[in-house]
Amino acid sequence: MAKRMTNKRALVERPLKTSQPTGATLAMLGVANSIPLMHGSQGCAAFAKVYLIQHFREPVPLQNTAIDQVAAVMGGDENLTSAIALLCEKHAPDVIGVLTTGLTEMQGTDIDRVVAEFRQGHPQYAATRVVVMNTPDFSGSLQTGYAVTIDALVKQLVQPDIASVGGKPQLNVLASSGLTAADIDLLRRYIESFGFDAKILPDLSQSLDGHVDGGDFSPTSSGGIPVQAIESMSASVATLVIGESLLSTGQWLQQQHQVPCHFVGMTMGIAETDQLIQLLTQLSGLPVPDWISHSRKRLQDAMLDCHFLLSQSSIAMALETDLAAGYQAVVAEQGMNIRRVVTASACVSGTSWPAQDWIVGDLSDVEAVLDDVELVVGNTHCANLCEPQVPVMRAGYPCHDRFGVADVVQIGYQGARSILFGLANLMQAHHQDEVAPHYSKYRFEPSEVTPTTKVAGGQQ
Amino acid sequence: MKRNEIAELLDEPACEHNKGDKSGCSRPTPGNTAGGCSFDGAQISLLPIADVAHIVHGPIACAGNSWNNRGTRANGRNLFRLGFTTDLNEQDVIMGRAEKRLLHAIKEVIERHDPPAVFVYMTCVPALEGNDIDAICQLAQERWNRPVVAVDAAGFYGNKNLGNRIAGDVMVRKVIGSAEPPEKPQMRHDPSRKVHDIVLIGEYNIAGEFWHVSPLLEQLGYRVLSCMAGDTRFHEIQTMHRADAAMVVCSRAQINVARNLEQQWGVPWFEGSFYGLEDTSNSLRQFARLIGDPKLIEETEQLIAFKELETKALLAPYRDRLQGKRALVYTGGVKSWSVVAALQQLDIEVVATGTKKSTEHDKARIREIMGEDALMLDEGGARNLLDVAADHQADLMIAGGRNMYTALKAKMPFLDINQEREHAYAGYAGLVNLAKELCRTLESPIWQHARSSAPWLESSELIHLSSVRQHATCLDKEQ
Repeated sequence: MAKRMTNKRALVERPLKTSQPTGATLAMLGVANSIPLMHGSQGCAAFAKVYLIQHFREPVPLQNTAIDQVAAVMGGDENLTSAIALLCEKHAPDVIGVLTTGLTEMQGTDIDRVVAEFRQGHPQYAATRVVVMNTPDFSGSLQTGYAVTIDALVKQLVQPDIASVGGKPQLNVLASSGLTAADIDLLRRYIESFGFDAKILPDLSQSLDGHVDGGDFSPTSSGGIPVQAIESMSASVATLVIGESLLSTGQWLQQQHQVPCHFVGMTMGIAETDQLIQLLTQLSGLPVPDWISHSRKRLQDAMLDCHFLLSQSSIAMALETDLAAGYQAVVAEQGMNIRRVVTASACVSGTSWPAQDWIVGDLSDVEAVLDDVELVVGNTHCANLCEPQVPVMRAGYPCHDRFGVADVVQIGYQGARSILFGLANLMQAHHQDEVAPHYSKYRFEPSEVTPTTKVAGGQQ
Repeated sequence: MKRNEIAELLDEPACEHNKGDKSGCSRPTPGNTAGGCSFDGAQISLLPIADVAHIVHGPIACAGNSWNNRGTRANGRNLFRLGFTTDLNEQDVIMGRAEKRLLHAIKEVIERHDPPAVFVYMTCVPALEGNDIDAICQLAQERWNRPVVAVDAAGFYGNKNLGNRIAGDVMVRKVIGSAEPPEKPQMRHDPSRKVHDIVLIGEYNIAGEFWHVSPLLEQLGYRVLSCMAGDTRFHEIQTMHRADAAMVVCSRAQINVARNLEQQWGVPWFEGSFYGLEDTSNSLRQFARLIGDPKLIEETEQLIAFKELETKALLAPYRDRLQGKRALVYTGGVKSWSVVAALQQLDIEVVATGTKKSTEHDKARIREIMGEDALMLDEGGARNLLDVAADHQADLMIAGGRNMYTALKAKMPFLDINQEREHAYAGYAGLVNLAKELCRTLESPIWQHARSSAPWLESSELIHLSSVRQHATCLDKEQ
């Protein structure tokens, strides 16, 4: 049980978190042919854009409403209306996601009203859906902004009484901001093996996975879940919620559209993955395919191999709560001591985590326990802080000092296996002999010995 | 900051934009605007003052998205690499606790890090709330007895250039002239003379590129009082008023600093660049000319002659490889011509250059270098850049990091020339680096693979034909 500690300082020194609009942008990019539109000053969008570009090494089609000094004082409604109209006219996207910032929330902007009025005044753009969400910079974190966006997409787009698309039974997945493109690929493979058609919201595996398209430039997201698929989520047999941050949205689908909601943690580690596979076989009535059973055996072997290094070794983490829960599940199964978990925001299950203590704080709180740990899991900033003293496994946002962030698998049997190997390899590369060499002060050098009559090496 | 104060800053007598249309000052278009805000500009200009504690006063977005992601490099204490912020939350905003929180944050940063000065950056949310950060900084300064400087450049005040200018203005009003430099030492290579003091304005030492130039300045007997702002410290900024000459590098946004140095302290200045052989040499000449020491002028010419010869020899193999290649350049201000000139020295043809942030003076230089028909791009935008590149058969694009993935997704060779880049292109050695990096991208074998479509997607007839042809050649050989 983690002891909850609080960071009460007025000054943040090394931020772990970043703001909600950045997370909201990320979520919107997992919807096909969409454009996130940030209602704020041009800098709000420029910062978020550079942040995501540096992480993914991909273009990010983020727009903004360019609130300047006049609009800051007189109100930005006109800016928002004209921005939506311009985007509809120029790019005809399927969805525009309007997200607020600290600046426009301070103004008390009423985006619902502005968008409703836009709808009345511009019937010619009816084909473009406009989804709105409140994501002020002064509350929450990347993960909460992402969750707010998923919630808005579901509540504003899902249609009642709609037939499922395609012949197979549908299964909804609400995918946490902690998942990578490779995680989503694996999840889809698991789900499709049981005969389901997976509706994954958002689907970053089609947009931010790092691929080149035939064309040269796209003003909208380069892939993702289609709007029609989101609309049809009410016709699915069940919803899998991956990550606690999205749980309330899954529950809403259950209450509103009678789609049963199943929460399976982050599906990280052997126990949670077992739960997922059990659930899939129950829901489908189909047996577990051999390849899945075999990859479970591989994970078991990895656990055996790595436990000599990892069991009882000590680790700290600085992550958003969903990923923190997932990585704890993996390393706790391996018997590691989780000295401290630092997160960017709070969550309900935090106090029941296996970590010794848990702080909602910044990276300085990791620095404080650096002498007690052998490994750390965290982002690039965290690595800059801890290395070379303690090796850091990269996870979370931003990670701009590594190539291939979209390819990292964290979930399922495969993910747990690669996390264990990764941690064990870091330990090994950072290994120091347990016993420091001792050179006795009484030992002597070759020049100090006196030859005797006996010829060393025998008589020639 | 009041509107009339912003208007005053925008009215810069030393800037050509002042005459007629102020292209830098038009209102941005909602839904079709990229680029940073005033806070971004102010922070970029001052953050490289490495030993100052820079506190971003606002919610997490402003610091959280951007801390420690710049290419600027500095010696010694790198306090600027930390992301100090008051991280205002909802309660702070609603209950009006932001000012109090700021005061506590300043206290904490002084107690924990003991910086020589603290800079506090205003952002949109506290600006809209009406926080009086000047008063808080004044209070903190008296209480803890060290400079606490308010930089009032909230994002909605305007664009990045305005932020650069506000930052320069704050330094002139509150920091420059607040300390005297130590007495001039003797020149190391000629003890009969004292060193000449110079300053640079708008040089950010991206990827450490100023370190390509700094040894040359040292060799000629210059003491750089301060480079604002790249690899510099607070006490160095304080002494900038004692310079014998100043150079405005690349950013006209901070021309106000040079003008003030001249008006208040009589420091002569010039505008130059360290990109390319000619511009580097010209900048060295200009310093010598402004200072007017005949011995210095002579030594400068000797150094230039030696360096140019050496560099040309180093460039020769690259020139052969780069000759006749066509480049599209999209970058701001002075770089729009200085980079073009550098590329021409490598025998690369520039098909078009970006002039969004360029002045009439810059444009005249472009015409001088590229000819009267030079194609100037006032508008960026991915679609436009790619179309221009295609229309003019450009072999590569040279632009900022934000356009990198525009070029790469279009499978086009690319060179990053802005803030976040990893390579140092300034000075004589920098030009060789530039040639090397150009060859790396242009000559890479990846382009043919990246552009190829999967063989099974090509028409079956083509595959059939080529296999027949292959078969035929085999037969020919056998015969």
